Amino acid sequence: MDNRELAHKARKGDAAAFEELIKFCQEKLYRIAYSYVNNRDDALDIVSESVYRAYLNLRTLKNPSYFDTWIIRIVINQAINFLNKNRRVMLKEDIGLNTGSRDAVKSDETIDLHAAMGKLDENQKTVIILKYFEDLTITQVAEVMERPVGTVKTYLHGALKNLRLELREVFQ
Amino acid sequence: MSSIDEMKTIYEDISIPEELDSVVKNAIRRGRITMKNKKRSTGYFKIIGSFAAALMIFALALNTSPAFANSVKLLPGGETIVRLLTFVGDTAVGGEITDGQDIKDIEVEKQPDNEMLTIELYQGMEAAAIAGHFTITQITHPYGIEVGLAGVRAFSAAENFPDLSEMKLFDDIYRLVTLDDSAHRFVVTFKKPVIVEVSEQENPARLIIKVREDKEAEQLAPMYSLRTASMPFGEMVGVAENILEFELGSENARLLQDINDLYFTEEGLYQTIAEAEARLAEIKQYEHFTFEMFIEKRESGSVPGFLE
Repeated sequence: MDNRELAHKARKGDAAAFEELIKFCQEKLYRIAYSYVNNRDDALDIVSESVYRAYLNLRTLKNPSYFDTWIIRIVINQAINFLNKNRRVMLKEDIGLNTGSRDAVKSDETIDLHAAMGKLDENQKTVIILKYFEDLTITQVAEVMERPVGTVKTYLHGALKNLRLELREVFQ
Repeated sequence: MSSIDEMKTIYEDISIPEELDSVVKNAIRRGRITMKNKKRSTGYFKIIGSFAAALMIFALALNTSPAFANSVKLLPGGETIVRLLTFVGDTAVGGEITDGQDIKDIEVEKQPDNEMLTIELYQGMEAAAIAGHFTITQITHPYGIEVGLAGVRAFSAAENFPDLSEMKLFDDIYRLVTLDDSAHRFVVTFKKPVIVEVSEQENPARLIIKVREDKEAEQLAPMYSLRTASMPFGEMVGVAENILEFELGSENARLLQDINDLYFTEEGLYQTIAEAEARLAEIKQYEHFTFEMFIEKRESGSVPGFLE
């Protein structure tokens, strides 16, 4: 059974179909969440909350073909929500800007990736993750972000500009 | 290797925790439990609501109340039936469980002592015979009604709401986000306190909402609204409403439009600022609710303010 059929069945309330659908994409969802928060436990929390919400709101998914786009959007919204909330807490506690980086052990590469991504605003980060890491087309990225293609291109342009500056240091 | 490719390699090497499977399964289990509870609670509500309304109508009919008798018209051939509904508390319910209707058109009419809003329901290309199950709830702060229709998949009337600029009682009409593609909701606000009368018509299906000024209405005290910031029309206000209602037990959670035509989710109205603050503190404890909440003092008849 393909994803479209599974999504169709899931929309009708078939929990097993929903579980199977999520199984196909759960690693992708985790990687996306992790790219925002750079912390294993937080990324797991975000995936958990996103899957829960997706299940509750399945009926709002108008077209089963867009299941992937739809669930990625939920994960990204949850991740950004998490960062906003965390940012407020961190500012209050005045303990710097290393939001979410509480893992005791982290490879240098992951820190570099996080450092590079840290230079991007949330929209730019989303475009880089979806376009270059998840290989979505610009049109698909625009669908996930619910923004016009032109706006997405502007984000991409800004992201690449910022990254070129930043990556020069990271990957020299 | 280019820098982006390097980054992609690091991204692909992000290790997947073993617990991911169980985390996902637990989230789905949690979703199933919430859905079951949700279905159960709305089911009871509908049964109790419809039963109460039916009982009231029946009792009125039995007693041949003049108000009821005057409002029930059986036209020759039995085509059109108009039934006056009774508010039980703040709510009137009616219609039948159906699916696939369209809120086709909403019209207003001004008469010397009242104003009338007519909602026309269609099934496909033709007028529906009986309205889908609906709930009309009277609200305050601001004065208005919230109309919810189930079994409705389209809301054509939202593209072309009636012009209310000449109206003395109707103030505004706007659609609400509903995270359920088989239901639609909208709000009608009033400029002053009114007496609302709802009639349900069959063949063709119409809801007729008649309002007249309530000159004896007591001035309501200002209330403290615990609410989110103003947001554009979209899923987010609906998500906030769902979490408040189903996870935080906020029975009076609702959506409203602010003075700038943006939307917000209101957790509830409180008589004192202390009560609102106490509830705010409770909500802050719940980590899955990430919307920032504010307390807004609001007069009974005023349009909610814009909050960033």
